[in-house]
Amino acid sequence: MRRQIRLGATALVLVGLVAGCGNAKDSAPTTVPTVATVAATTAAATTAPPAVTDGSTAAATDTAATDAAVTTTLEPATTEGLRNVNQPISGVKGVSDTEIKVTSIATKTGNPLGTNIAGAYTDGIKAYFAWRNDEGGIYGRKLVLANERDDQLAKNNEEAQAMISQDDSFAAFVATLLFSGADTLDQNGIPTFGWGIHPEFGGKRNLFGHVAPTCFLCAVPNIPYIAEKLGLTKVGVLAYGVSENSKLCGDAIKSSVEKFGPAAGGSEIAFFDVGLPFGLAAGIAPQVSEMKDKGVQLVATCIDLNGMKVLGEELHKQGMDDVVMIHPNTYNADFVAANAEIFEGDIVLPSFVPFEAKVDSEIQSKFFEYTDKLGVKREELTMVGFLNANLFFTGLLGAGPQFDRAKVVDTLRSLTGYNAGGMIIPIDWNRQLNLPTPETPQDGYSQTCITGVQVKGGTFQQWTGSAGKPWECWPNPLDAYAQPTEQAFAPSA
Amino acid sequence: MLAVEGFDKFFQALLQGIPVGSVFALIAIGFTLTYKTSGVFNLVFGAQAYVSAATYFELHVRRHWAIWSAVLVAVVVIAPLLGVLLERLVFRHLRGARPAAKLITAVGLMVAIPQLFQIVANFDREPSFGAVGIVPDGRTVYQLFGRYPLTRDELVQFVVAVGAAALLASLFTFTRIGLRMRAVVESPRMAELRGINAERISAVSWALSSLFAGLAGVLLAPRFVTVQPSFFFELVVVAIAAAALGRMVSLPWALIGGLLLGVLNTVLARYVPSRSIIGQNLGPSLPFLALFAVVVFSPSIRRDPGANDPMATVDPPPPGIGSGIGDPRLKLAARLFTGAIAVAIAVWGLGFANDFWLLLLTEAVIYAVIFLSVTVFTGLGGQVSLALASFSAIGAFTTMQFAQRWGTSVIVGAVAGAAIAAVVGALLSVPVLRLGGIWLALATLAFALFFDAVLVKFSWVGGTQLQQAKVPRPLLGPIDFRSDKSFLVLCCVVLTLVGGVVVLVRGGTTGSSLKALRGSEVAAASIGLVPWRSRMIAFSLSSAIAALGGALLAMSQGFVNYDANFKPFVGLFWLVLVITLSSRTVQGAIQAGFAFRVFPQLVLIQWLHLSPTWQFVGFGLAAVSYSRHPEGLLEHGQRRLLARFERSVEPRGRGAPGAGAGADDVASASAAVGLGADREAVS
Repeated sequence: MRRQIRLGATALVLVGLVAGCGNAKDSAPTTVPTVATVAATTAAATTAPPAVTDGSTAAATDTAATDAAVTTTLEPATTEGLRNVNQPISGVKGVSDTEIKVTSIATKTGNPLGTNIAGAYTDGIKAYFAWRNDEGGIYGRKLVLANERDDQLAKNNEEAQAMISQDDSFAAFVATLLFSGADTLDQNGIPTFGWGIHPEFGGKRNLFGHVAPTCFLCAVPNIPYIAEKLGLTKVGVLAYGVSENSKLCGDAIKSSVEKFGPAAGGSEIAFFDVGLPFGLAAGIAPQVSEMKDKGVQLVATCIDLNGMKVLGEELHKQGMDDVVMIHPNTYNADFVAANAEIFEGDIVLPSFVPFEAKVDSEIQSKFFEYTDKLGVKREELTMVGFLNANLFFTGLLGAGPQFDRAKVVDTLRSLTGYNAGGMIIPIDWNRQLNLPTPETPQDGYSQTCITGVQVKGGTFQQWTGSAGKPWECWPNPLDAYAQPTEQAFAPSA
Repeated sequence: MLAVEGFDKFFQALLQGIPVGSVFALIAIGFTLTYKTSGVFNLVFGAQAYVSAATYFELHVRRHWAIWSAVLVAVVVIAPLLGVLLERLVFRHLRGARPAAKLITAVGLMVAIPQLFQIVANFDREPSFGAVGIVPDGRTVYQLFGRYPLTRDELVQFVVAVGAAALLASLFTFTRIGLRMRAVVESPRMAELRGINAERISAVSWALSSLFAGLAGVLLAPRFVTVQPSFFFELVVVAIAAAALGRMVSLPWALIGGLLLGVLNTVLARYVPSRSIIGQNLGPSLPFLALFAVVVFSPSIRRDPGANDPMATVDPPPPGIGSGIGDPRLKLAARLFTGAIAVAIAVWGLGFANDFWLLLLTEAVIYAVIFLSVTVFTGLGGQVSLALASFSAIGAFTTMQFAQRWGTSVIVGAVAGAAIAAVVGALLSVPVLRLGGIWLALATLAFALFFDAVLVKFSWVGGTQLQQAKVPRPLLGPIDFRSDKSFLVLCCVVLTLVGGVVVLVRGGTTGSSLKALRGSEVAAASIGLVPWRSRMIAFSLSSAIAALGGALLAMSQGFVNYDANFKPFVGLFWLVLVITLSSRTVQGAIQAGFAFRVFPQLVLIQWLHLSPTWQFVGFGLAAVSYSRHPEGLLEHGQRRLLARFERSVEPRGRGAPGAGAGADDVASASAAVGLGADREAVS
């Protein structure tokens, strides 16, 4: 009884304390350097300060003239001439006199999609490192992917924490289906490069996706434009109900079509279901029948490979082979080849210049060269790994021979027009930190662009733009529908 | 004209539901067959289906074997072999065990077998997709009556399912083995008196039902891009609902139940507007609602399959649980030893551990809190809940919602989460607690899957992912728990408090009532105890504790990571882990917490350099021991060790009461009742 009384008294004390308690604010306050801060930091460095665009275009120039350009321009790099200068660095994790070591965290086992996420991604990193190491590395050091961690789908945070505590690594490379370790990596100041599909990349200064944080909710003209270009007007929208990302993506497509469709050839929403059960194990026949009844001609989806296969098979079964599907996640040649009959004529929208669109880009040519040299397959994630590695190299190059983690991040956050040698839509890493919303378009890209391929006979063929100009772009935000302009972001364009 | 169109639409939906419904039916039939012949609620069925599907995928897709040979090996060889192995090695020895013990064993095997298969077959060595059906050109379309399309794969699914059901019916009706199987179903011992080898018949039943599982696995495989265990687990739950419609005993009704669920799914999707809340949620929730409804509202389903067996009582009672430590000096020494280990871990954690180990240590303590909910409901209450992870998620989400929406302290949110979970638990207990045993477990599983498929996606429950639902660390007056070490201290304090509450409850009125109920519900009622009241308190308390742990986990990780932490399957593994180690004591929950978070990293990865997957294999297979050692392996080992020690220090000729005899000796003499036993546990 006395124990019970003691326990009760303790509980009362705790309740009293709770009345006066609150929540901790964000831990480990991070200082986001202003333009001046970055410039001052770099100017004070003993070695030449950074002013780089990306690793592929860096060239030596006068170091003294670069400070003013640090945060705003795409001026040629200043540290290229110092690239082979090996200065001793102490106290920087993952850096020895001969190597700069990094860790990858990728989903290898437990991947419900059956795709080669971890293998393809690390192949891309290794291919890039092989290229740079063949050139002599950087600052007299080789780039080494020293640790490859498997997050087993659900242990991302644990692996991130393990990487920080156990690995002698300078930076992290992440390609996972869940990204629960984002906070851990950011709060520990780890320069992190990854597959930019997660909203967790938003608002974290040390984290860089292969693309910038993207607005999931914004109305954009891409789907209405695709419908117009294909001469189709009846649009169906499908998304998973159990995934908030998927559902919101479906909502955004609907608002995009409603906003721009009337002016873009008169497209309209004919069918809308964002409540599909994940996996579609019981099929999607009723929804397809309803789409057939309503004359749907184009299906825009926010579902995974599994869902696209089920949907494609059902469309095929119900004699709707003419219906075109827009795939957000299916830039996978093997998968498309294995399902050629159900994906014929479909549009796939990769987030970088497709392999089928040859552009005048050193990044693209080196990607082809070194994936061939290493004998690895070219997949979407291979290019993501390659692009991530390029951004990392760019940061190192800008940070100078006395680099550390903070300097690399500062350098990258100072880039205002990074386009990975023309492979991606230009990113202002200084501005594009947070996840943009319809209310904060200033956090997003300055233009909306698409580059797409079409499935023909089980292979991809470039579908957007023209030779050398694979992108089609609109200014962002866009109030009234307009035709896009063809663009290329490659250096020669 | 409208009537014709209406009929056309309905008939089309009907046909669309039949192929998938027929596969549900196939699983339901196999499931019912096992249940009828062995009394085992075979949750391993999904794992069996997975093994055959993965074998077929490996042989046909990866190794390019011909379809017929791959099907032959996967379905006709591997599947029955697995069934016979399960029967011979595991379930034959559980014939006299309580249904709940069989259920726990099945859950353990369900966790272990897919992982074991992946390791043995090296199935995860490379990612690959392209699962195909068992006929070439499965996507070829046929027009039924000239207007209703069905693919070749779908036609095969339907024909095989109906054909298999017909063959089974013929086997039961027209063959000698079928007659013997029916006899064994009625009464295994009576059949043995008539010279029938019941064990052999049981093995045949297992082989047959496993064959059905294998068949369903390869038929379902082309519905997915690749072959993953989780796909088959969810389908088995749907099939259980179908089997439940057949009251778990009727094969024809299992067939009808499966078809009905498949058809209802497509018909509802066709007629209920897809934009409505009902339209978006009824389809995913249909099987779970059906399962819940049948289990709760159909009294006949809960009839013990052995109730009609006139010789059911000839089995010896299941073994009981050994007693506590007899010698007070030894008891004190054991407690001091445990305390010393705890202090050593605390000193190491707070003084020397790096961030990674600190994270694992903190989460081990948090999981110990969560696992105390098993101590209350299963260890004390003698019941099994399969919704553990869902109640933890309620705590985590409530904390997140309080912090996000109203800006309140996370501690207030955690307390509110515990309260809400307690209320939900109490409400859920009204219809389900009178069920008891496996039916209660099934009803809670249905709730967990409903929570997962429907409730969690509502923003007022799960929030929105895009808003990055943060759950900050708390401030308690002047104390800031933002640092990892101070948060570990907070978690230890919560664990101590919750552990204290559990000990108090066990020693109090509720604990005594639960103990009495576990012994004999009739006897307990005769002395004025109200069964539902004590069990409701236990269930509510258990739910609240799980929610509190879930809230701490969210605070520790900084947000609610539902997919990684709170999926129903995760909860099943938690349950298996705690029950395998020790579900009756606070110490057992703490050990389970460390086994879950520290053991894989420390032992499997760092020392043995093995894949952490072995954790699932190890603990899953260890669940097989539950029927023999319901007190848990750790407690059992500890008792044996202490008993041996006690014997060695006692003078010759003097017996040691209580633990003096080995636990096995005590077990043989003890008529255990209920899931737990009637003896005191070591706290």
